[in-house]
Amino acid sequence: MLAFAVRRTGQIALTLLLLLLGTFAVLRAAPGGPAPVLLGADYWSPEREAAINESLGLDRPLPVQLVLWGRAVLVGDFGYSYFHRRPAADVVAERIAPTLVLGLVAWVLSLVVGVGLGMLAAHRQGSLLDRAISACGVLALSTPTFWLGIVLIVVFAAWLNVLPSAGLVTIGNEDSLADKAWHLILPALTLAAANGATLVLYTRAATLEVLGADFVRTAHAKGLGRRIVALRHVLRNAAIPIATVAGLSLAHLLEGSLVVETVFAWPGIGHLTVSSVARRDFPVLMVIALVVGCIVVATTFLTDVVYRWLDPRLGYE
Amino acid sequence: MAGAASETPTAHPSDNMRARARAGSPVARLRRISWSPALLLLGLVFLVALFAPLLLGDRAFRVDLNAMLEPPSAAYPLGTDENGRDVLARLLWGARATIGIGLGGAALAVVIGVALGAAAGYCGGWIDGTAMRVVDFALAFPSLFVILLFSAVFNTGVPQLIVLIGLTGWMTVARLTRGVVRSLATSPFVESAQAIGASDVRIAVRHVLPNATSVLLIASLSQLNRAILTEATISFLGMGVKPPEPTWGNLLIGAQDYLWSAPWLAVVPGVAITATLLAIFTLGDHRR
Repeated sequence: MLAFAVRRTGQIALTLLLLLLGTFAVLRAAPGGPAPVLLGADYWSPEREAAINESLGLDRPLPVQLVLWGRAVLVGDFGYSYFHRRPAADVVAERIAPTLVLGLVAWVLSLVVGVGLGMLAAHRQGSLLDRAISACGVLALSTPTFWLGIVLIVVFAAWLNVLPSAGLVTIGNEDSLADKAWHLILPALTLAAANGATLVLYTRAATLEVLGADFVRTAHAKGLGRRIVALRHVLRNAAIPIATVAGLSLAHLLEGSLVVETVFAWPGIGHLTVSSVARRDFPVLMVIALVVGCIVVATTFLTDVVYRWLDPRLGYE
Repeated sequence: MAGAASETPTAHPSDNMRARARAGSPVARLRRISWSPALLLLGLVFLVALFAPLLLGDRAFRVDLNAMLEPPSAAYPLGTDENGRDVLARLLWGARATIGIGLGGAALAVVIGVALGAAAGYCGGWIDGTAMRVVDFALAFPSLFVILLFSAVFNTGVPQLIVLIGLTGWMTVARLTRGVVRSLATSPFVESAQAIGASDVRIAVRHVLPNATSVLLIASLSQLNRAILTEATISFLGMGVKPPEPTWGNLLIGAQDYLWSAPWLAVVPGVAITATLLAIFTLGDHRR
């Protein structure tokens, strides 16, 4: 177990290091860089661009830039955001919480609804309910997330006027938790949709596979009630693949937040990524790459551990 | 005697089936395909994408300043957008970019994935181990983030998008292919082919892969879905195909500002995407 943890930590460190190097190389290789964006078309001139590049340290050779940047990172200095004129780390840190809240709420929602419906469909295979659930799952998977968000805004905000269309809070109500929860409903639903659909279909398939096993037949033959068999035998065995998919889906939720936060103007990392990409705000993008990399790697590692804990047949190799 | 098998072409049971399938006129062969609503829809979408310039001329780009944000009418069946352009024309033209990039990206992902996966699954040993390590490493980066990062740096036009989508999607295909090939590699027919001296490449291509087609077909269709969805998302975020060139994704960029006054702008492109993806998914189900 200890050897496993050590080996995994080494792999994680290597992955993150390569991620940072790759991001650094890609961003620094950009033709043009941030100067044209910072100056704007009217104010641009070759001299001003050279001055900005010098002040940002972008005219030094690439390896030098890397070393300087690496040294700064080790003390926690990620540079200043080109656009926000504040430390890039601060800009990102402010926006992590909304994304985490949105992501976790959506994850729990998709997990509860997805696994629940999936199991229901599997236990009643072939019935109208099963077919309806499967059809809804397929439909949700085929609907682009950004379009679903827009449609929900049209229906609930424009048409019915019952839910807010954007933002984290209404101006003036910043401290109200209920107001924040109110604003959370539509974005969380949108983000949970695709993930929930995947979980429904996957859970249904996994449960069906377990239901066909011999030991389930034996349990029924012994006289155990359907609910006990479902909970104690089927769920326990189906939980292994389901937990794996559920854990890995956190990374997909991060991708989904890119789109959902843009549609709903949710002030999180996803929205920041999209706007920073448009503005070529390299320092912020590097911090985001690091944060996203850490999150993905951490969730993958946790999923791996949970997966091996659930299934004693796998070792900790 | 040992080299005979690789010199003379060996008769294969599937040769007879293939010969029979080739028989008959093109019309007869077309009739033999089991047409379903999904296939018909996809065929329609494909044809529209192919012939849009012929059908539409420049109607997708013509601006009519007197008719901005018009609701659907006789002249403009799906209304006009905020620039006075015909929404229906832009929708039909948009199929080209979306389907084109979708097909290209998916094809690239499948080619890379099948090649690497088959090599890993068939060779086993350290090749397999290294390949799977590379796959795991590549899977650590969410594809949307990677593509966005690239688009921050380089200009992402159609060819770049195809390459990016392909390079971020091959991993799942590789895993699937490796699994199937690994399980097939120990089959008796592979063993006998090895025994009569067929080369590894020949066995992999001529004997193992044809038996994996059903799995590969489903993987390809799901890659196509993923590619279309990714292209639409990237274009919606403003980093893919940029206006005035329409794609189903970027048609929704402008629509966002007019959700109250012109909701049809937002509804139509999404319906197109959803319907196409549903059709592709159903196709995969049918084949099974």
